[in-house]
Amino acid sequence: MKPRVLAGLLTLALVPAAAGAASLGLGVYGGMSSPILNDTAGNGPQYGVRAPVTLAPMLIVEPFYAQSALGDVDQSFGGSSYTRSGPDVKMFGANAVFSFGEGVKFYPLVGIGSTKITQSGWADITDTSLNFGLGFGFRPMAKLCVDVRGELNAVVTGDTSRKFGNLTAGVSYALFGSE
Amino acid sequence: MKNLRLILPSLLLTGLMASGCWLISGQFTVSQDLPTPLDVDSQIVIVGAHIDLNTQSTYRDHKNDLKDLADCALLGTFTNTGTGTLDILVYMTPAGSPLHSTKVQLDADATKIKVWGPLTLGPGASKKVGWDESAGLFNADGKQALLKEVKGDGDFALYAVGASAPYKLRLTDGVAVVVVDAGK
Repeated sequence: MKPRVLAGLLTLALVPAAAGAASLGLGVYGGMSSPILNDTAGNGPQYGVRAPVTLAPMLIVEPFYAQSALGDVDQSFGGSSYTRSGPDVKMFGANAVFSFGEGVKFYPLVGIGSTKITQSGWADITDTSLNFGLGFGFRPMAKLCVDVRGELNAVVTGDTSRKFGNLTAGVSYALFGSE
Repeated sequence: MKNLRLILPSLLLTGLMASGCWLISGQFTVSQDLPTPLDVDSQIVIVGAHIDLNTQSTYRDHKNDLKDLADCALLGTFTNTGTGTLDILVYMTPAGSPLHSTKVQLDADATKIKVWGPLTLGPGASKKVGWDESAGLFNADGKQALLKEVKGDGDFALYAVGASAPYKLRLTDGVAVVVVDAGK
């Protein structure tokens, strides 16, 4: 099954869940994305949107869209410096967030999505990606949540993967219900 | 709902384990300098570049774990030293040695594959080809052929030539770069 179809089906599967959810929110986030063990990309900004759906006190399902513009890489060959333009990364999918604690909440998360990596002079890569992460969040107002997350995003390219470490801060607002 | 909290991570964990050890992987740069200057004259001599990736420690470190090519480039300054407009092409032969030394020998080599080009230069024109541009000049068949060599013995030859004779060209400070995609 194509990654985009898989992620699309997963997102669609969340629609009925959202209908019976305790709350539905909308959030934005941004931060830094760093390629891991990848000589063709540097650090770059990442930003995105997400829609946290609280299904149970400890379980939030969160469709998301994110994109990053990874930095250029400079390497020296034959006495000259050459620049490889960093790739653009676009991804969508859904995370399952397991929320613990009162006040400041602590939450591990796992997710699946579809990621497209575009780099000048090279064929685009579109594959399934998996997310693993850890976050902390607090609620300065009843419907508002502020959070900080660290994530490992791995795009599975056959027998190998393109991995990114993401550090982001975000804010989300409960459109109905209370997150 | 309690089941869902178990099912989702379990599914992901199962997928992770079933798909192998792709997590332990990376994209690593391997490069080899080419002879410089590399002067080619279709009427007298062509000069091939013998590439032996085994001389590079990064390649040796990952040779048994190579899965794909993540990037490749042929860098350096190309100069059209002839009198007509020149389309520069690069051919690869799986055999790194002996190198061909005449156009006739290279033309007769049935194993040669066009991997790169054309780079068009006017008479006397010179151009330093950057990484982005050079990566885009590799063709799909060339990338496949290069991947086969990289996953094979890592020993092959590259020849910069003109699309039509007669031609004269020079490559200075040339470097062959491959970024290998390696995973346990």
